[in-house]
Amino acid sequence: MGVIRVKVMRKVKMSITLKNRLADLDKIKAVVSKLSGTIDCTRRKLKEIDLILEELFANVVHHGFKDNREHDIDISLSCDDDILEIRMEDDGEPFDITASPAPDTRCALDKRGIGGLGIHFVKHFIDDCKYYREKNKNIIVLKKNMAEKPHKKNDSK
Amino acid sequence: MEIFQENVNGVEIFIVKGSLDSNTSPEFESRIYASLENGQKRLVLNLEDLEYISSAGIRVMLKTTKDLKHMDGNIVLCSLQDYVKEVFDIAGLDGYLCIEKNLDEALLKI
Repeated sequence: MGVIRVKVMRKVKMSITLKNRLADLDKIKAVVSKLSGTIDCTRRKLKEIDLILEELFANVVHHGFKDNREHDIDISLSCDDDILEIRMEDDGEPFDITASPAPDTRCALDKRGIGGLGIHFVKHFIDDCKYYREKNKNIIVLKKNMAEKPHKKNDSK
Repeated sequence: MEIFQENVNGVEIFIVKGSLDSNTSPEFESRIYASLENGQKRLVLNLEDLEYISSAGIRVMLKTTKDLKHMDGNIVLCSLQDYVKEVFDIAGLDGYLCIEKNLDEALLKI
């Protein structure tokens, strides 16, 4: 007799508004921690979500704004069955994540740049990615399947 | 994040615990570079208890590896957890860095 695992997966929606300062990363960590108590997923998946959110946020904080003003960055997470949708909005410089080139991770060490890795990580750990520019805002909508895949994703390029 | 350091036969061993993210990586970087300024050129990073790393932590590793190469030094990493190992692989660092299964192997390779 196999063990029947009862999955509790409710519809979940959370949103936070952050400022364009790295200290607000703590708020992301708090939301991911809250998510862990709400949806049924592995610690590993939570680390991947943590990474996706940190890289998106850090990227817009580092590169999104040319002025020195405070800006809002809105992030919402919604989970319906096994699909987690991440939506981020900011009023920074236009940045189309879907058009961002992958870094050359196989070149010689001396030529190896240190940029572009964060977005590369995001793309590796998500299953669908859409970008819109509306009313001077960047809107990124990502989807991630939270169910454990039978095989490890083989995309190390 | 917590960092513990010890020197064994001229090899500086860093034990990094917890999370290397955008907020904690600057402290990690300053600890590493303080050690380089003190003349340490052989570093081992024991990542057994490193639970999480983002591109900010990866950048410090990449920069340290490049700088040590120019100083005729060496860096070896060991005991990576699965998630950390995958992030290293995606970043392509597995091709540049010496990564060993455990501390004993790392001390043999350094």
